[in-house]
Amino acid sequence: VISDRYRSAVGAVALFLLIAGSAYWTWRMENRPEGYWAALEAPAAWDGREVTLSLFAVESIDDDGHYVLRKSDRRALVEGQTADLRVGDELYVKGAFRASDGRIVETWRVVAEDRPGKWKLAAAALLFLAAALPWWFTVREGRLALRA
Amino acid sequence: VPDPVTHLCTALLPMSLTGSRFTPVLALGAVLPDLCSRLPSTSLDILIRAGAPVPRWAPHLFTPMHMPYGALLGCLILALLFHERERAAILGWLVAGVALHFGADVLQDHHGEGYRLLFPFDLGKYELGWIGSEATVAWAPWLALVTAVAWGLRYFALQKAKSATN
Repeated sequence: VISDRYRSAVGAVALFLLIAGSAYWTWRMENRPEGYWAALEAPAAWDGREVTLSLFAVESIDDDGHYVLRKSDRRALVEGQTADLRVGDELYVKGAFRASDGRIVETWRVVAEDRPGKWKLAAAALLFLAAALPWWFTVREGRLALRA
Repeated sequence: VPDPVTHLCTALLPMSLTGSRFTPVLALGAVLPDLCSRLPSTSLDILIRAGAPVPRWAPHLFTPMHMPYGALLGCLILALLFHERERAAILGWLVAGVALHFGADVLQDHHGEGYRLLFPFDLGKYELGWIGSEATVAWAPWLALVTAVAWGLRYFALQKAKSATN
């Protein structure tokens, strides 16, 4: 099936399936929100239910026990302890959704302390791959090939 | 995900025992889901945060590449770019690398936010929760060092064998 005879057809089908899967996922994420985003769409139905936010960054902190989390261009409003929070911290938060103001009333929180270290390791791995990939692979007769 | 250094080492360290010429393919497979999903989606997220005119849905486009569905299709497409005589082996090693990647990923605990391993057939989130999501950060530099030493020893052993033959 993966011989040169069927290469174009198999490649086209695989590419189509990949694009279709990506399109479906993107559509689903935009039109069938989950967790906190679903709660914002139907607040009354979600009032008091537990929601979880995973690895959201603290964008701003108010003195009155409220803080704002952000991931990409999405923001979540949270009510909870702010004394030990810093802007930029990445958090896991669980809490009860409150329909009246669209906030999560925090019941549990963990700061992902080593997140900056993870970003540094990702940068190191990218640098390694940038150097290694041309050393590992080459182009021969118009196709990718392993170097000897 | 565990950090990419750990992912690379899960492929490179055991392969230092065999020295297989397909080691780079296994290593590429072990980071393929992150390279094709996390890298572009995080880059787009950074652009969105900076106010660039990027549609908010754009980062989602790459998410399926961090699921077995997209990663396996990616392996197939990548393998098709290689010469026919090596293609089956390349595909096998890429898939093995991707399996290593997801095997390491599901060990983690994201507090209820697992991996959608069965997309598009099931949207459930799965993970074992045995290690923290940042647990690998502490040991990754040591793992990288051990991997470098293992490959260094292999290189010097080969050089020694070559000079003995000559």
